[in-house]
Amino acid sequence: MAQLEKIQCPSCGAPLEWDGRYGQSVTCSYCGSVFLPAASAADDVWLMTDPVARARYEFNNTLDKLEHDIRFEVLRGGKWSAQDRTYLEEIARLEKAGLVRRLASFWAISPHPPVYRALADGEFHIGGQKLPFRKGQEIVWACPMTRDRFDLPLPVLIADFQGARVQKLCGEMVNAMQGRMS
Amino acid sequence: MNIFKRFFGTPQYISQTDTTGDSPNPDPNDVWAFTDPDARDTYEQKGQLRELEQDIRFEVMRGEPWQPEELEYKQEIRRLLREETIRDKGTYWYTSPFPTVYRAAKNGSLTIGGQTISFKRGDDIVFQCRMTRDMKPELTAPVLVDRLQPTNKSQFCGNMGGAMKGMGGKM
Repeated sequence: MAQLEKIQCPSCGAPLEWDGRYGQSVTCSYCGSVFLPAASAADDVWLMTDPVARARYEFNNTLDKLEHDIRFEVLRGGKWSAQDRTYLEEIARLEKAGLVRRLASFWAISPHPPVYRALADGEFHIGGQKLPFRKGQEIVWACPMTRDRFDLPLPVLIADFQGARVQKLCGEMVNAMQGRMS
Repeated sequence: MNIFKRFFGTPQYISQTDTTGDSPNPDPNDVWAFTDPDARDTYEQKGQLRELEQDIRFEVMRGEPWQPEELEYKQEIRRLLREETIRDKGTYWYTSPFPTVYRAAKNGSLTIGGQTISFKRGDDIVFQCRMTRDMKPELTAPVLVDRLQPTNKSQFCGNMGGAMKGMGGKM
């Protein structure tokens, strides 16, 4: 039997159970409304990927490798977290406010998120915290492996980045595997 | 002829330009709008036109139309060519989209996004892509005014140092 997922009725907000099958309508047992569950942002494997990076893999016929890497090395077989989605909302807010600008660059490691540059001093609001940034610093979404690597409590990295020549999959990061080599 | 143009950039050789005095208004979706036709011919002869088009469409244009200030640059170049304030230098920039380099025949200026960029007689004028502008914050418009030197290196925009970012050897 398929594992049931928790979803909310779009009409009344009631909690419902869903078998995860798209294309089949669901009837709300509270208000009776009928709706078709759509793929949410949490399901979109390309949510964090700069379209230019994706186009590179597509051109080289290696898009399936990137998708597999994102699905299993980045997402660990799961979905984007609420904090990941908060990152996107916050970066969109800062961009709209003219505090950051999207660069013509993406992060060298998959899922290759776009890199932003701060146009003024400000704060990045996420997870109930306010992370300060200075004008000229760069901001990028940080995958769980990057967070482990740099001891980041939240999925955002703010620093002065360097140019990178080598494009890597997440599974190729130095800490993708660990061992005791004594 | 393309080799002469690329290496020597002398106007004695008949060359083509990305913009002419009678060019129509630039098309925001024209992937070749900022490419010197001689550069395009060179890549076609090398059998690498598909790679160049991919680079321009995604790395230069970021999968989007040309930006308003980029189109404004092209319109200003058209005006300056009509006025004979600038002319074809006979060479092109070493990085894709490989735009034509123009030389100022007299003092003048371009206005892009309400900003006026002045040049002197003898200066070279060339289009600059978004990635170059990100790497050189002193460029406040998609144009470089300078005295340029010949080079035999050429590169795609996607191979520039700023195309990808990281944390150096820590990753």
